[in-house]
Amino acid sequence: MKLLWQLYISFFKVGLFTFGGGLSMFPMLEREVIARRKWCTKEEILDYYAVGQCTPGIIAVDVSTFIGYRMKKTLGAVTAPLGVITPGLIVMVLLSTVLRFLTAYPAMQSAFVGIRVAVCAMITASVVRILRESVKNLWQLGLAVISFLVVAVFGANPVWVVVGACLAGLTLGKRFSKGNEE
Amino acid sequence: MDVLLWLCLEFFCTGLFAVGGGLATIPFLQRMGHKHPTWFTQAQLADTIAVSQCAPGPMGTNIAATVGYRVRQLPGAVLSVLSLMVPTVVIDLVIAALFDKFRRAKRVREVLATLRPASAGLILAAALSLLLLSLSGGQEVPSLRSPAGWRALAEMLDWRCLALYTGLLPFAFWKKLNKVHPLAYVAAGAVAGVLWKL
Repeated sequence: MKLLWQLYISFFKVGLFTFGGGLSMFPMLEREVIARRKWCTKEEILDYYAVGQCTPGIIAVDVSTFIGYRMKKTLGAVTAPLGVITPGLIVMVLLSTVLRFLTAYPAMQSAFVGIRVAVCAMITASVVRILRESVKNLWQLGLAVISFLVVAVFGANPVWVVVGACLAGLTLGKRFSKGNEE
Repeated sequence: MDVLLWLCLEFFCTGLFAVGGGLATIPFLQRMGHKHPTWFTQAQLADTIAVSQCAPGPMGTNIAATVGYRVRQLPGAVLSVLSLMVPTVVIDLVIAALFDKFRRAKRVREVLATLRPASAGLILAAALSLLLLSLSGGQEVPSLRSPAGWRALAEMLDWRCLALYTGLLPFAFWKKLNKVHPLAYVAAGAVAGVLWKL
């Protein structure tokens, strides 16, 4: 029980002091989970990231689930991700209430037009990084281009792209996995 | 069907199919907005994504919390976040139980080798439509299948927004500059927006 509480509190802190989730969480994990609690090593956490990046869902949830499982099996695997998401949930609910009133002002609306553009600059850099990391050969490049076109130009449901990619992996997998050894 | 149930179902599916973290949920959220027009507009989604970067914690669950809150206040926020997490936690439990086997299995590696680029393509498509929407000051982006759509888009683009975007790009890409905190981008955008009356 004590360990579960520690897991929750530690991951609450990790969630509270990081912005954006994913990799930006790593320095805080190093401090709280590796140095302070000594729950696992840096290499293990990097492994968790590698798996998290290619499984469904938020990477922060993946990594905290794996660390939680390591410490306290299924109960830990549920507790740790709940800790990571709690601060964001509270802040977002409070922000939503405040913003609902503020967005009535024209100045606030102009501010948001600017904020959206600024956030796009940040996102552009992340997208380029993701593309670099996930496209390692021509087959993968082709797949990324097709998946982009099917959704951006023809408005297909992204679910079918994911299902189609799974099928392609099962049938033509060897071609795609070339150059992907870690 | 009750709205709360719909929220749970939509976010469960998003969590199940969004491979590769917070940004990967955006294509599914854009589709969610088209499917449930009363929940949020594409411009509101863009605002939500922006606000999520100003709050602590993972971006994906923060976006889910805001969308859920907009639809059904606190219960909506909590249920959306939890539904988004359920598929991830369940799949990870299975993987954690066979972690080493999982990483070495050839079949698994081959499927991952196709999932990652496909998801990257989806993220690129979502980012592009988010960018076009932001550069045109929040108007719905026309379909780009016909030349008329492209012309309409060119007229909608706000040159001041484009200038702000290109001005900020070096900070996002240039190694020496990209230690900039996300909040600094948000602040810069807000100041420019107010000064230029965007």
